[in-house]
Amino acid sequence: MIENLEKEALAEVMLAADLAALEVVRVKYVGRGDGLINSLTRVIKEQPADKRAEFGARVNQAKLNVEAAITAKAATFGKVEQAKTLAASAVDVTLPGREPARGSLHPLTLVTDEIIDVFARMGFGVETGPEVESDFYNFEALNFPDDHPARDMQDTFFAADPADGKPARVAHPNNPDKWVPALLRTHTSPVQIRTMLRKKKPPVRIIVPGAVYRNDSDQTHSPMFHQVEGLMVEDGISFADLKGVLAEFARAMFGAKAGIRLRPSFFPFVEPGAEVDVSCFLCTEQSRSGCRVCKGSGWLEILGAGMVHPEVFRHCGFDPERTQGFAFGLGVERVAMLRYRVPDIRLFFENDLRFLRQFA
Amino acid sequence: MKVTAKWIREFVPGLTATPEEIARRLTGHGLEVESVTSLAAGFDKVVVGKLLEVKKHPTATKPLTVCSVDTGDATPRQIVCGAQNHKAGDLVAVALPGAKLPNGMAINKGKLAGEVSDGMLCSLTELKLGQPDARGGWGSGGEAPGNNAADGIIILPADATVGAPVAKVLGVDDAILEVAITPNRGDCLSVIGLSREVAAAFDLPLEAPYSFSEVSNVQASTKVKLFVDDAKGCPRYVARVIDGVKVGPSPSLIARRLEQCGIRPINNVVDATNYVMLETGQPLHAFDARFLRGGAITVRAAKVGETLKTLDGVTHKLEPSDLVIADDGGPVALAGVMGGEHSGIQDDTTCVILESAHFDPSRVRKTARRLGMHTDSSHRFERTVDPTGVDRASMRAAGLIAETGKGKLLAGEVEQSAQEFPPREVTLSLGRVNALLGFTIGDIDAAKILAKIHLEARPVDTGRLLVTVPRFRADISTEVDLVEELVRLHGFDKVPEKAPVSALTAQNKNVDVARTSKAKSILVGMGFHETVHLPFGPRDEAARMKLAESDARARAVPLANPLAEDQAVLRATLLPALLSNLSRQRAQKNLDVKIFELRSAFQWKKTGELPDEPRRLTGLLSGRRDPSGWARPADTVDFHDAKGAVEALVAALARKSVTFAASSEPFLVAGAQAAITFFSKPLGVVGEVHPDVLAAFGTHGARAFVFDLDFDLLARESGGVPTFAELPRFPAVDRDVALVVDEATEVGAMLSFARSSAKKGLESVDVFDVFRGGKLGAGKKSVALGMVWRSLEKTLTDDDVNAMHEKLVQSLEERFKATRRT
Repeated sequence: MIENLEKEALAEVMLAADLAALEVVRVKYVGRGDGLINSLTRVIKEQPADKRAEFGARVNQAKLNVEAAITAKAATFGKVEQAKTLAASAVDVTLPGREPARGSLHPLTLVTDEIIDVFARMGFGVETGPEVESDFYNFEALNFPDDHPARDMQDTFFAADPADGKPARVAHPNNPDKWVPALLRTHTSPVQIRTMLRKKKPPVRIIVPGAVYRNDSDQTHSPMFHQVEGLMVEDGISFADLKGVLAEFARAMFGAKAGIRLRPSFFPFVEPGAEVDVSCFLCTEQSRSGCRVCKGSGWLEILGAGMVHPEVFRHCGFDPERTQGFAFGLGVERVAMLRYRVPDIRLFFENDLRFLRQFA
Repeated sequence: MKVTAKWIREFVPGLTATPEEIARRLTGHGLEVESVTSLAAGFDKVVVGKLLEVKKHPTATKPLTVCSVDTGDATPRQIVCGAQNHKAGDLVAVALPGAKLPNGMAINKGKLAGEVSDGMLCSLTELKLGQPDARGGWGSGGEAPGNNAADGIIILPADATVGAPVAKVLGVDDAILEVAITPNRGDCLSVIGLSREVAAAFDLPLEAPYSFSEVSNVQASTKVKLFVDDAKGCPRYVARVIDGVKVGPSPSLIARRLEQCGIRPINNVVDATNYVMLETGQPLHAFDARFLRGGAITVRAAKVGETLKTLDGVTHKLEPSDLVIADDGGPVALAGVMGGEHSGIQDDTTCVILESAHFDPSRVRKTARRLGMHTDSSHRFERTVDPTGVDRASMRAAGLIAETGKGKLLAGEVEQSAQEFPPREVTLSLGRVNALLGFTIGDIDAAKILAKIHLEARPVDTGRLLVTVPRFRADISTEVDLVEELVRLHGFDKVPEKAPVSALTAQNKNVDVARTSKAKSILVGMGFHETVHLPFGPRDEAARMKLAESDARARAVPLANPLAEDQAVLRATLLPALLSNLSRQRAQKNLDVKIFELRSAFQWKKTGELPDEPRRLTGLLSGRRDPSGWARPADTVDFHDAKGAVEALVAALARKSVTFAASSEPFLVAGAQAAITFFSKPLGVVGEVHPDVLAAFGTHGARAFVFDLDFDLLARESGGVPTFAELPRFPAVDRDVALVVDEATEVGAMLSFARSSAKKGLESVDVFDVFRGGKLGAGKKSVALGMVWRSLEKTLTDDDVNAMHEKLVQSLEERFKATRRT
């Protein structure tokens, strides 16, 4: 009897067409209380004493079997439902995605940040300074004497006093009776002076990113551009160390194979002074002759450098006889133009979105 | 400074290197050669040919000749030629097939009027040798006959070798080197100075092949008297007199070299002064003795009210700081800058007074700058001319004038020297050298290196040298100057690369730099593009923004020497840069714009002080909110996009919220702008740009929203350390309410009232909808608030929440005269 009931139940489970029909079958056979199989538990005690245990076990087994069949059947219905739902949510994977808006850092920021990062890893701190500067910090303390042709090397913008339009002047820091021009700094080097005056003694190990100004404008010159200055002043720091640090920078910035070349040059605030070229990162010996980046020379001029001039130390209150150190300055636009092959410096400052998006 | 390789070889006779190799070495020694221009470019395959036979063309209507030419090959070639100035036996310049001439013409074998022509006979024009009288066109061998007709072919000197390259015969087998001379190396503004460097670079001797002319027995002092009143401005003055001079064109060698070096040949006297200036670096000036009133030269300071018309025809008002050469009638030359028009060499000059002098560099510079005159002479004097070379240059030029003008150099010189210029002595400590350079140069090597540039070094004691520095090296006066010379000549490429040894100390972290980067990254993450603008603008931008004159943002810093009127000031706010940018973007059909800039603005403070440089973080939004595409609504940005950007930025940077209150900026739309407060300080503004202001910056028919923040404040208050708050362990209950209020009611006030009045249990309250219209009626809006209630101590029951929520809603109703929307 139990066996028949179980068979019937299992057959009906098999035949159930949907979850509702299956529920009817469940209530009919294993519903709490009145289910046909469940209700058999009530007649266990009516069985002969020696058969009771066996009967109970068989009823229980039948109940478990039917419930398991129902669960299994329900699961198949679930799968079907899920499959239907999933089928409905199929998409055209070739339709473009819903991209969030993507902004971009300016290419000059990308290059500056990378340069800062390389020197920060070498233990250089970052300093900044004002862009409208006193002649003292921009020229005099950097060993550009008054009325010296070295000043012609940097076409200078001068600030004017709005009151009368005449060139603005500020007090000389060491001589309250002397007034010197307020100008747009022509290089980041005045921050060397400001930092050494503040620190009062070595060691100094800094880089200085920032905007600088020259009265000049064409395809490769902008009246404002950016430099990163470097200064390391410490016992025993030599010209060979300068070469080593810049070579390390070149490798970190332009790849392990990059090399540097120093050529003697003149900047009043360093001696010996050098122009520094980095080996062209685009071409090889074989492809050199047609290289558009280095114009076939194999070298790219991106830096000026040298040993800090004793006059500079003297202006900063450092002992010019004993103190040693190097300084360098590199042009951010120059590196960015070479790296991204931007042919015209003005593109950086026009900020056309079609240009900026290329750096996103 | 331009110089030709041949001119250098005159002083370094042993030099065999190519111009390119000379350039490479000079550059390696710190004299950067910017270009090497071969004069022989295009002369490949142009050879000397001998005309064996010249016949009239048999059929041509034009007067052509058919020539048989020996070009050194096994058989003569036939060439058809249109010129008329040649005959059999002449030596001519033959361009062979395959030649590409200086004027661009390519030569091929072909037929001319039916006759084979296997090359071309060249004229001066085709070889770009210009006018024969101006350029000479010939080597120093003198003029060749028959070359006066510009359309005729070149007839070469009879001693030329058939088949040899014509470049050599014509003296154009040379190259111009353009050298960038740094301001410290005035000595290299001369052929001799550069030759000295070339000789050092190639380890060759330097020679100075000067010749001097016959000297008359008439004393120069009979022709001119000299008074130097300002000996400080002119420590040395030498005048020489050449009489009986015939003014005329210079010999071709001199004229050609001047031209090659960028100086226009004028006549033999002026050319001689320029030639010797190029050669020695000593500027010279020639006076016509007839025009020196009183026959005397006085070197003195100009007097107030004096004027001088210089050679360029400009009349200058002089000042006492100017040094002049004067005669009895007044100034006749600006010392070291330019001569006067009135006293210069004329076509009929016969008696020349030649000035060679040493003028004070800064004095010359002051006058040249004040008068805006930059001449070959002032350029050299500013960079210090060798004071010991004054007499040598005078002799050299006087000799040349006498030679080329067939005049007589009078005996003696009229001279005044107020100062001796002995060589400098500088002590060099090898210990210092090696410490600075980081490698070792021994004392013998050091002395050898210095000797190459004519610096004599004697040992004084162990490790120390006493170096005698000739006066032509005005840039060497201290030990470190010598260190530079040593390493320069030793070779920068031989300096080892070392890694510095230093204490491993962490440098001060520049938190500002970190925060700047972070702020930029946050905005980039929100879809903004960073911009970098030139900080220059026109003077009227503050007015275009309708800013009051007292506004700090109207205090732009003017430039004394702007590049252009539209770049006349340093901007006091970044807004004009972004507003101008918008119109440019729209012109390029970039209509969806989200940009920002983070940099200093410049605000004038007061006379005698540097301006303020407040750093601003300024953004602009216009066009669509989201990237265009099939899956996005094409909504355009509005005030709340700009505001939301500020809120998110400040929250991410500083973990603090900002408050907004209605503001009244003149450049923003009234009612669509807010002042931002942060740590109870003004942080900036956000709002919609007034259409009139947009129009003033070139944008029409678009809306734009901006924010402009004080980044100094933001950076200063950023970067606090977050403190952990325990995570809630009990569930939260959400309750919503929609309140109908007057349109004027500020939702911000409702939110802050709710936050402050529900002391306990209210975790958060937010607006999830603002609705107008429908049955609400005019002047009303429905504000839907979502509250989250939670206790940190227990699970709230429905009754707990209902009580608290009801109380809060009632107090909102009372405070804002609100009714619940049902």
